[in-house]
Amino acid sequence: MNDFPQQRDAVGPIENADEPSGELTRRTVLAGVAATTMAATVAGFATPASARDIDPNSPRDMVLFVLLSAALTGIAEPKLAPGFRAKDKNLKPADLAIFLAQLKPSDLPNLNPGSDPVNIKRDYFSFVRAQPGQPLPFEALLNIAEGSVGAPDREKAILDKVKVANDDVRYLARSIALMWYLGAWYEPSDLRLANTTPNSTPNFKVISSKAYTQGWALRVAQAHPMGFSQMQFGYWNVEPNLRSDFTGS
Amino acid sequence: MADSISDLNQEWDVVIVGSGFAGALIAHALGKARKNVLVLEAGPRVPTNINDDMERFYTASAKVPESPYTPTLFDEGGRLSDPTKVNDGRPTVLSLNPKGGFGDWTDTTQSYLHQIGPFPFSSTYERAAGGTAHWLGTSLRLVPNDFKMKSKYGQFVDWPVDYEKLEPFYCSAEAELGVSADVADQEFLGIKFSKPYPMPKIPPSTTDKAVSDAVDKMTDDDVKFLEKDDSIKKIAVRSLPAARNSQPYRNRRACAGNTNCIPICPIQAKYDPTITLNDALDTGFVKMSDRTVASDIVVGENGNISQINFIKYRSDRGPEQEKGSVRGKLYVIAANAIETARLLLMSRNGDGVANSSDMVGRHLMDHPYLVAWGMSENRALFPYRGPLITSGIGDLCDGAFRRERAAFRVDIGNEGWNFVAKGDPNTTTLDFINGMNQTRVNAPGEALLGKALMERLNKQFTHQFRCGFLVEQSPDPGNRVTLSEFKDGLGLRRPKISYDLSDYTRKGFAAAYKMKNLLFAKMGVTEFTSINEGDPSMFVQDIDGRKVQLNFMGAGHLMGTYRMGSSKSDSVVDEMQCSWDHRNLYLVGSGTFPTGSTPNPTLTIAALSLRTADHIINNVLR
Repeated sequence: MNDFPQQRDAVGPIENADEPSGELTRRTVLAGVAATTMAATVAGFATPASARDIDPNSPRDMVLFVLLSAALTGIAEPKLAPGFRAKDKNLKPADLAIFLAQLKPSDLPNLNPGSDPVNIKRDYFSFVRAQPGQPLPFEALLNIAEGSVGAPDREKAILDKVKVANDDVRYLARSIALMWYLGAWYEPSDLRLANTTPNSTPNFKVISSKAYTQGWALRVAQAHPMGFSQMQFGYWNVEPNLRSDFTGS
Repeated sequence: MADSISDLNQEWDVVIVGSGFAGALIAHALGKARKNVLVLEAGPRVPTNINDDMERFYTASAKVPESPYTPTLFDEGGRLSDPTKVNDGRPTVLSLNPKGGFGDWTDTTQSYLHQIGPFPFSSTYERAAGGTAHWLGTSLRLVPNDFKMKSKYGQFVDWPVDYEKLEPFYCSAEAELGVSADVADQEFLGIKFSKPYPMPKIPPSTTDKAVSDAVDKMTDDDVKFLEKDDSIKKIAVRSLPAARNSQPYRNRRACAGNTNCIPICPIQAKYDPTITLNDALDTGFVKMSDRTVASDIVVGENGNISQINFIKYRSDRGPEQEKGSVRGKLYVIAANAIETARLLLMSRNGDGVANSSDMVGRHLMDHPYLVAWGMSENRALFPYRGPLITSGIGDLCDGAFRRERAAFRVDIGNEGWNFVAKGDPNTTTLDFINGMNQTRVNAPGEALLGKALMERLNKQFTHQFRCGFLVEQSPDPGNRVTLSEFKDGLGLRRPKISYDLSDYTRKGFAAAYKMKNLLFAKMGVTEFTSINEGDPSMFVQDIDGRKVQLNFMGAGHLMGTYRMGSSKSDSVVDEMQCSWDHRNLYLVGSGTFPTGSTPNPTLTIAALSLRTADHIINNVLR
């Protein structure tokens, strides 16, 4: 199976992914993306002139989305995306955590984004991509994630780049974090308004009943979403499992 | 199920208006005794399953008690539904907001209740088969002295029944609802049990244990101000008896700690009256006509009730479908303390029925609820786990101090700041991701992501604490339900409410406030309680020489509006809840409570209902 069958680059579409092309190998494409990202970081505007069509069906894009989401939320990849793993190795959870902490760019094609039956990551990816005005900043965030693979502290690398990106990207990052935590969509422009206008409170919309039940805020609290307990009678009488059991750290 | 008007056209043994706790229990008892019963229910019938309710709840952005149920709260434009267009309207906590904005409590285009103040009556209810299913499940008995406020403490009135007479019916009610508790835990302030509870107690939560440890540290000197009853040597944190399965019971499974009792238990481990209502319908002797609003109680020539007129509709915002009337040997109105009073008052062209005492609608009571919240500085409490409330302090519910001030009961919240901080976890999460400070815990306005965010949120949520104080409300004649000129979708006049807190009740708040301070100090909790600008329930109370701002919420307990008593001049019904004025009319539910005391009314509603049903079967309809 092709690792990244729908490879596109920032400059223009590739006619045929199998055709060798001196200029448009994966390496150069990624370098180009990284260069664009770097330039954007320096210049303060991240969004390229044209967006490639980011796609939830693309394992590459989904892997990047999971890596991005883990960095934004502080919750480990295999928790957000059950089944997230290396394809060619059968790693126990502790070893998988080490592998993911030391991830290199050459590992990326070897990552399986996971195919759990709930698959909330797919709902979220599709949802963000469908919001007006968000495909470009979303792509920029995925590029930031990709460009940070290989950094000694990937989370820090991603968050540092997000911090200095333009408002569209910065606030979309916040919306994505809120989405994972609460199963609800806070419009990035509303979040920005709340920061710039006194007494402005952002509204939100629960994305779906499924999203609500997959919310992380109360799992981070070592509990569960209200109205969705998968526990047994009496569990509340004793202290919960360690936080790391819930969030991976 | 009675689907057509012609099905209703027979002489029923008993016609019951309302299918909540009181209506369902009475219908079931009568059905088992082979009496022909018709239940008129203003709202929709029992759904086949609760999936639609759960979907509504999960996707609601305002997870208020009404959120799973119909009628839906908002119209297409996102505004609160206009009550003049809804056929089975009811109040919502969303319309208790300050004047001038969304949910303005005085705005009758947003509020179903026409509230004239000075305070908003802050409790809500459902109008649907099964009644107010959004209840918590708390099933406390009254203490013996609660029935004798006048003879023991010189306050208000005595009930025409006492604890001994009601005790066997408390046992029946506990069996019917399926109440979990241990007798040994509950024998305080004179409470005695002739039978054990059907199921063992719900285990305490980790938060309960922290409170218990703190209460153990309170010295006699610390608690002197409470003037607690002599029978209470040491204040105890006790399990809360609840209609919540601690074991599989009657085909329903044990509680799984969904932490969602209000508004809806996803697995029906918490009892709700649809269970008894379905049992009643299964007897074969009980029929129900849903979306059928009783509109007029008609008095015949002999002074008895001759029929009840109704209006049927199909959709809650559609036109009326048809009008009709039903006849029975007996009539039972079980529509809750506000809707029953409303129906009585609007009958006979607004002249009212059953009201020679002029007390219908008067003495409206709630348990005004003082709420406080904070952060545990050191000890992690691990809230958001287990039922919403598992334990409380009931030892302060009775004592000689009731001569001077209201008693109060303490609730220990298991749900962190969910009830208080505009729907946490959302508010705290938004604060820390977007650098805001709505919760007042993010003063520097930090905006976090990644592990720093995750660790901070974990620390916040696991240390949140909230408690509540249900304060006894005095029965004041000026607190009353009358009829508004504003109408609902069927053209029926809506309830108008005037509501205030007496000095007696406010002094109870003062004592509760001091108890809260003591508890927070012993627990090591830093307080974060705040009162919103323009909060319509805010009042200032003198406490030990200082002027303190307090406010209250509704506990969801509607009581008092057609009280029972020993004579027709000072009560609406007798001890069997039969109207003095019309001897074939029964008025049931907590509207008959002459005093409010401190426990949740539900178990007492159930016990009184079973006693009335027993009387009807054995004495009246034999």
